[in-house]
Amino acid sequence: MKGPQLGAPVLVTPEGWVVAGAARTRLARQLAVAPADIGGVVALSGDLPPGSSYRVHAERRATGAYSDVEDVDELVSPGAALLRAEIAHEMRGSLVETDHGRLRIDHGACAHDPNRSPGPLRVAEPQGRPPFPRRPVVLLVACDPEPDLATLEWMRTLTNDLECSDVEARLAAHRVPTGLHLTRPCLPVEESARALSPDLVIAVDDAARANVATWLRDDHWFFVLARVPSSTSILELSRFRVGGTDRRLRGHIGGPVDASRLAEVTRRLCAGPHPLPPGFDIAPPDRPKWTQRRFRSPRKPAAACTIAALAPSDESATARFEGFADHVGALGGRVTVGVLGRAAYEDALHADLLIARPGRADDDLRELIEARAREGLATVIDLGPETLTEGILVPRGATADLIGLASMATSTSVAVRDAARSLGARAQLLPVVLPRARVLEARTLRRARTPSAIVGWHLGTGAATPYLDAVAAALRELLDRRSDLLIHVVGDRDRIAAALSIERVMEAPEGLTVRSTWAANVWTPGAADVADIGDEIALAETAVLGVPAICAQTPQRGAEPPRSSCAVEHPDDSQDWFEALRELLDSPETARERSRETARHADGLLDPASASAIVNRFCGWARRGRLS
Amino acid sequence: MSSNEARLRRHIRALAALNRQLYADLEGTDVRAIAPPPGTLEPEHRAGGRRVSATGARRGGLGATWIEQLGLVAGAHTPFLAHAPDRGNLLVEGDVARPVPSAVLVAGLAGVFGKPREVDDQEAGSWSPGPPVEVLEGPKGAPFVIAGGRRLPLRGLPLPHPVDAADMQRFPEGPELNLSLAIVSRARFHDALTGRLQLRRLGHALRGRGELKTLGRRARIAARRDAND
Amino acid sequence: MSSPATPVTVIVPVYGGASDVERCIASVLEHAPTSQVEHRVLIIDDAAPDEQVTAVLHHLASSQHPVAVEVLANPQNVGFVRTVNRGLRHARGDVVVLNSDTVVTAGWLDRMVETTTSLPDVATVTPLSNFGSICTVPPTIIGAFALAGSDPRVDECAAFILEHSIGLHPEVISGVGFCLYITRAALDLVGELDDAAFGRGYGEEVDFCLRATALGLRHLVADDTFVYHRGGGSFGAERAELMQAASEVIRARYPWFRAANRAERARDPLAPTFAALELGLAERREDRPHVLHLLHNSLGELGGSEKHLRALVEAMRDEFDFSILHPSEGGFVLHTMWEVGGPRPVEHEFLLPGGPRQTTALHDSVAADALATALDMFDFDAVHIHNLIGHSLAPLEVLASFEGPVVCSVRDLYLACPNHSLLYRNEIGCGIPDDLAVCDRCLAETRSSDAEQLREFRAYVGAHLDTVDTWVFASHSAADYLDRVYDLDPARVEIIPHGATIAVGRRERAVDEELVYEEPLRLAFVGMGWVKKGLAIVNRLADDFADSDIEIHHFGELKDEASAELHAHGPYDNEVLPDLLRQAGIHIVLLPGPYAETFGHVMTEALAAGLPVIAARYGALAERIRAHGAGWTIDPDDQDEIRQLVEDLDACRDEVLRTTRRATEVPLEPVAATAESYARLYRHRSSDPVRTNGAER
Repeated sequence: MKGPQLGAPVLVTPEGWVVAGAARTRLARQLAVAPADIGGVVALSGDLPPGSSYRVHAERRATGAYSDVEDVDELVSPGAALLRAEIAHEMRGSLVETDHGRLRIDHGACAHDPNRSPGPLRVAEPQGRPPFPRRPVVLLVACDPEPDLATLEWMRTLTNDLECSDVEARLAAHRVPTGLHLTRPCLPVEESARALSPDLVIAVDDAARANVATWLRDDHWFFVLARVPSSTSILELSRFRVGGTDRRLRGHIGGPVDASRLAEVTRRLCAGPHPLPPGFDIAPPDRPKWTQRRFRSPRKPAAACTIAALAPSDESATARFEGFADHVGALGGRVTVGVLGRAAYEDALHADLLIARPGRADDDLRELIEARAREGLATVIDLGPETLTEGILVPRGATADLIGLASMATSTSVAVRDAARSLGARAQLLPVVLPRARVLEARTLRRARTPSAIVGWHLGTGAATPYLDAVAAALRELLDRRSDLLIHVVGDRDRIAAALSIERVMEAPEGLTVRSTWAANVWTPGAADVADIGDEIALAETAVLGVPAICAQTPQRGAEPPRSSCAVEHPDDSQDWFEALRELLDSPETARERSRETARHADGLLDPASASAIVNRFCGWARRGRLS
Repeated sequence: MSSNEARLRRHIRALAALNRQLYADLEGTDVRAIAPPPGTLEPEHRAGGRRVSATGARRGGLGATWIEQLGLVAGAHTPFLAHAPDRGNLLVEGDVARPVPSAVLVAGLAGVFGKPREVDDQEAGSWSPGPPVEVLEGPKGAPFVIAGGRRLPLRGLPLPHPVDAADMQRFPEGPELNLSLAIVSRARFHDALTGRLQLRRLGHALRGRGELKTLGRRARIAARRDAND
Repeated sequence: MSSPATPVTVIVPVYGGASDVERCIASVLEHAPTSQVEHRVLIIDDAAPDEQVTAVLHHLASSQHPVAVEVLANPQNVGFVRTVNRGLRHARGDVVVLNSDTVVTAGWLDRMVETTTSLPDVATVTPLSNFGSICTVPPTIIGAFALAGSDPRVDECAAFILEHSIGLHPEVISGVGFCLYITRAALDLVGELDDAAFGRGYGEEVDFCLRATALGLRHLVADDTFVYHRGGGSFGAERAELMQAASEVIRARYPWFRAANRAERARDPLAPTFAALELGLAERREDRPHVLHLLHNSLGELGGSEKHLRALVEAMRDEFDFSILHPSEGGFVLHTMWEVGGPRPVEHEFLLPGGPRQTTALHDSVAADALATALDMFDFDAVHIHNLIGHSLAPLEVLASFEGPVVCSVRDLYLACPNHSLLYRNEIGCGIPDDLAVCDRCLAETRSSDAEQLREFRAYVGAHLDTVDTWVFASHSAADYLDRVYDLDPARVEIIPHGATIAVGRRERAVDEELVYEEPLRLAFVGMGWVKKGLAIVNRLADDFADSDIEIHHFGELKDEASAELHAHGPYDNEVLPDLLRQAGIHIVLLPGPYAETFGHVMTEALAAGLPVIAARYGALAERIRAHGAGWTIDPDDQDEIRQLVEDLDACRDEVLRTTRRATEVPLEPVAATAESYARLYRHRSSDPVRTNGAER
């Protein structure tokens, strides 16, 4: 179990060393998953492959497995270390020393000492190219067997400066210039040029200019800039006109060119028309005959699994998992929905995946999770407001134990998901999905929808919402102004009895038909900031009906308000609620526009196509073990 | 600008607005409404004082509802044709059986999904009823039916049902159904094209009824056809 | 042109409605002094039972007036028709039969006389009215001047009609009796009204007009004159019965009349007049600058250019009025959008004269005429070319003589090559080759064209470069591509990135590390499923990773065939796309097509969803990726390199995390943020007064 975070880890590096972003990210990830007794993770230094840079070398090493580590009590070779905040440390020469016994050496991370001799000149290796292509590769080539020191120094500083301008620069010459090196120079030979396959070649001398044209004859991507020390202009590009003279040579460099300016020119040349497009006598490529022209084809994760979905009661099972089961079935999977307890034990024991909503029979569930774990089967705990400690977003004790046991949790709320993650579990959002038939019914009603003077109000559950009175006051003012207005309340009416005890405020009749006539749907999730499933479903259905929702601006830490809803900036101010509602009731044009916007988002996010994407993602996530 | 030039400009604009109005009527589409200055009558008339007829709504509305239902029939199963004594011709997609009311369509669909399989009513009853296979027509392009999660354009067809572009594009296009080829056997269709069929009929008539009667009958048919032109 | 038989006698039969009579006569007398037509007023009292009417007539008879006013009285009530006939007999010159519940307006008589003289053989002239059968103005005008209300703004309406009418004086089958000018020649030929058949009124003027028509005379409408008619007052409850009786007599006498009347309604001779008047209702405010946009599609289409222009127009509507000229099946449509003070801009659509479009690569005469007509129909302060597809290159020539600034946005590389995807045989990026033999082969397959036509095409554009004051590109690479073909003056090149056409206010900034590390790697190809946009590459990736954990998705319409392993989601709504991609757990957006993008709206939507992008190593997408580090670049022709990159990314989720963080930090601006740059261009004219093709600007 991960220890609480006291402060941000500290990266300790020997004097003058550089640590590439890839290595830093890897060290941070290793430290995050390392056990508490490991005080820090170390990246050692080493020789760069010929024609590589410290950054490319770090990126390539970072593709190694996270398990390639070695735990030591003390360091014997120089390296950079990412230490936990509370670890005291000291740098002796290039060695990191700490007062805390154990350190973990990650062989997938490496640091670089630029002052160290780059090593003997050899032919460049393909490893010198970036594994994740984005930064252009610039090759500075000097073929003169005895290059003068000034030229070598110019090449070295320009190569380093280009490295700092997000360009992969390489130096190819017959002598290694002394001084600081962020890259490892290589021999100026054809094999080097072919291995690096540069985007831009800077031919430092005439011999280089001649050689490069032959070395990379059939490489249709690279350009050439010639170095002409005698030229007055620092950097001059020639016009690249159809029918022009030379497609390769795009200009020349005179004096001390600014690296960031040259980097910008390099990026521009790479994004422009190709220097020499591929040969044109090619036959059309042979492609397999694809025939598929169907949307929502069946997909692997969901199609291949059987899922058991259990809840404390039939009603909450149906509410939470009916849509989920419908869409898994549509994708070819099989789902059994049942009640926690003996009856559903067999199915739940052997299903590929079990998703359970804890409630009363937690002991049965604990036993089920342990039995499945013994057979290597995953279990997911689905969290709702009933599993939270009253008023605060931390799972109840029993539920926290279950989460620790199952190690996987889902919720409809972002905040609850994050709370589960803070307990060390893998947690993901599993929003409410509506069954396809329900979506069809709501859409059919929407086509014939004519809003009337009725406002729906979802009170939400849990303790009193701080701004219920403000909403009630706004509604009362509206009732006074409009004699035809009705209020349909969903939830416990006693909570607002004092404020709105008049006959035009009534229990909302069941069914979508009535709700489709609502002019607006006021939504005030429970004080625990987490909406129960009933509210979430109702909110989704009314959105598909095209009824605009009105809720508080501050996104409830629990339930994510629908993007299309009208957000009230100051929920405690009844005037804000009054204005939002009045605009919808009094202006048909605003009501039509708001309804169209609501329906548009509902069709985009709640329709069967996106619901199957949610289900497919859940199955892919649940069936993939934690990254070792 | 002289008053005459201004008047001519207004005349061009008026005619151009009318042209657009007439063309929109032809296309069955709508044209930008003239929004009167604030506080005036909601205009239900368009340029030229003539009301633009809404799209010739023939059987409008049914198509959209079927498409909603079809959106939910997962395209995961390869459809096949079936014929049940009571329920007639069906296109079965997964566990949903969709009635195919038009025999012309059955012949066309058989070209893509194979000949209908005879099933008894009990098996047919096991499938849940789905939206009928009917001919739909979008604002542009050939009319089509939706089968197997795809939009199959038709040639030589009965009346289409209009749907709008968004509904139409929810299904990618599939192979074409040529109804005329499907109904008439390929050989007869070829003979009709080359005129051999007509010669064969004439020869049969000459043998059967004798020369004078046949020529008389041919003349009467030709005269009637000319009168109708 | 014959002159009127003066004095013209204005005959006003009176029975009831003292206030109507008073108002009617007062209006005639008010405008008499300013009339150039010699006329007199003859009021005939048909034994009005109301003493107030008698008192009014007595007062009129006994007062001094600017014109002669004579009041006659029928000994007993004889009916409207016989009263009019008495007037006709009493008059010497032309006559105007005027209902007593009308109100005439300034210059009414002079313009009706002018109409009678506009053509030979004119029998009658009728003005426009608010209640006058075929001469009734459209409801929009009735509403605009409250003519149906208790306080109609009659004179304002008359002035409006005079200013906006096109004065066609259209011919109709019959005049309308509320205010009917009858020439003396017609009276002499046709005789009086038939009071025997139409005794109590209704239908008598139709009968008179049809008798005149039979004698070869015409009936015109003075469509620049407005006479208010309260209407419906006369004959009270028996009106319907009288109308029924009259129509039976008309049908018996003139069997052809009903069909002719129906044909006239269908032909609607007053349609152009009413169209002009309705257009006048929402006239453009001259003080606002007016910009004409040239587009290849109507603004309502879903393409990137259309969405961007819609957002730009919306952002600039406070300062500018806009019109969009675009090709359509019927020719060219000019769609105007002007701010006249309402909540929304007023929009009209005009189908410009010209036969069905014959688009040739170079110069399409229909397109040239359409643009010239549009420039003549309205005053424009600037023209902005967005896409010449469908317009041919004619606008470059027509606009050479346009006074204001001409801006040309290079949204695709059509000007460099008609096969604007720059895909040799629709497969591999050609990079605009030097060897035109290559183009010959490619254009033959893709555009049934050849290198010679391409030379002519480029020569035509090259000769008209100076027509454009400012070339606008959304990326440097787009400018470099076009610069490869034409010698663009750097001072006229402007780089204005398009900005986001979707809402970018609520962007997702936090990166869900669990999604990055703990879920199967999911890549989504977003946009139209075309091979030229990369569908073939995506299909192969889906097949390659069929048995692995990696998922390849597609959001958008499938235009070409797809692999069965591709997870196809179907069409989507751009505004909702960022939420859709997040909901499906997508890590990376894949735009691997060889197509040389000039900007890439889909990439903007991917960045709005906080997702990195894989795209071709050239073009605008590569430029944007390298500028912000928000993705990776690939060679679209090297499938192995692409597969290797995806495998490496799956193995090294740290790289995905780092690049995703950069994607969430890329600054995204709405289109509105570029409005000021375009406004500057619309006001700016290139400094160079001399044009190389001789057209002095």
